[in-house]
Amino acid sequence: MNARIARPERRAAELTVVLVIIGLALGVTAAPASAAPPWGACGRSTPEDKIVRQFPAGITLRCGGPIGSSDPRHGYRHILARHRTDFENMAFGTGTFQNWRDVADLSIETIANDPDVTVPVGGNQLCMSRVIFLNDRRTGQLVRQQIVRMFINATTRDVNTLHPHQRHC
Amino acid sequence: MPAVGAQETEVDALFAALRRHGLAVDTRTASPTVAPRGNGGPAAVLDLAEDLLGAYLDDVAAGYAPFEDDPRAVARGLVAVQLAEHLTADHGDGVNRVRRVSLVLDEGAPRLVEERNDDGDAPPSADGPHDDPAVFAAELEALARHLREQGFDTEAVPGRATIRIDGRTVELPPDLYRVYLEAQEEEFEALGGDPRSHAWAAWCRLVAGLLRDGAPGLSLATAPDGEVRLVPHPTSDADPDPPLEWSAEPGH
Repeated sequence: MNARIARPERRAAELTVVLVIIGLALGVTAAPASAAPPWGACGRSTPEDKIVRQFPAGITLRCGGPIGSSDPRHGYRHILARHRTDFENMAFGTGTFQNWRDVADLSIETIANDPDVTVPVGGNQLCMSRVIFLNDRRTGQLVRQQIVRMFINATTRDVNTLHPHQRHC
Repeated sequence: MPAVGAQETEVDALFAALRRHGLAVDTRTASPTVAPRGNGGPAAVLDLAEDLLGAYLDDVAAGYAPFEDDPRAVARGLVAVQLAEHLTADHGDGVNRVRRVSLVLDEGAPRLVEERNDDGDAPPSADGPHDDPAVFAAELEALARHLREQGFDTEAVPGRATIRIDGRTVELPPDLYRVYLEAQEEEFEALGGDPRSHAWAAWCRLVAGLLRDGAPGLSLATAPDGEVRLVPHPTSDADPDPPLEWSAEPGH
């Protein structure tokens, strides 16, 4: 678990080395693909309140739980159980090797920074949504766009869930 | 979230909350349904017994009792969001495939279970490394069977790490296949239950979803970061390695 979660950081370093070598060989400089900051590790018995990552506007992704549930209701464990495949589907085929965590991280960061819609929903929760974009980095062409919804606890600002959706909140 | 009135059951209150989420709940039949969402196909069935829902709300509320004034109200809101999420998340490809959401007793505790039209059966052999020849053959056949159930004209090619689908192929070198699934299982260790089952379900759903979405064929390959990834076969007229990236802004 630790090795996988820490991988984006290592990946960025490795990718930078590869690109520098290619750049030196070609006589050009190249910017590495952006990589999400590493997420804290959540194992089988990691406490629910352990922070996976803190985002802007006081929004926090925690391991969530309940611990030991195969149907966790909030946090990283919920997103892993319910929406890993959704974000892996989005990440599929990106030539810059974003993985599901990169896409989920980008979604939370983007929504936290500048949501398109924020509305209160029942149970002291906020629904926030935002469009994110799939671009061709070479041409700048927009290839696809996708709305992502995030639900947070209005008091603690902890992420309960995050998933792609056809409509805004 | 208003309190449930004397005449209103928890199920009624939940359906009202789902309607506020924009879902068309039809309670005229014995098994309430939620109308098709977008291009999501037939209606989904809701199987929510009043007693199980009450126990489930108690269970959720208990987690909020230490720091919320009205934990039951928080629980109602959270469960309504959960259910709406089951019924509307588009799985990253624009389609929701959930066909039934049920509350069931699992080892004495109520649990929400979703059934999707792309659920796959676990492979018959669940022991041993994934690239063990017997395990690999069984899992390849199980994936092929799952894809057939999804409507693909599919066959596992005997003696080859390949599934043929309508002129497309899924290429699974056993060594990469083992690394890929073991990495997924490692990730799913964070959950309760069997990580191998979680990883298998995710794997089946991903492959079927990508093929249904028009992928020209799929291969496992090692990315520059060392992670084994599922990548598309290049089409004849397309860039074999398009530099696509999800971003907060359109264009760069």
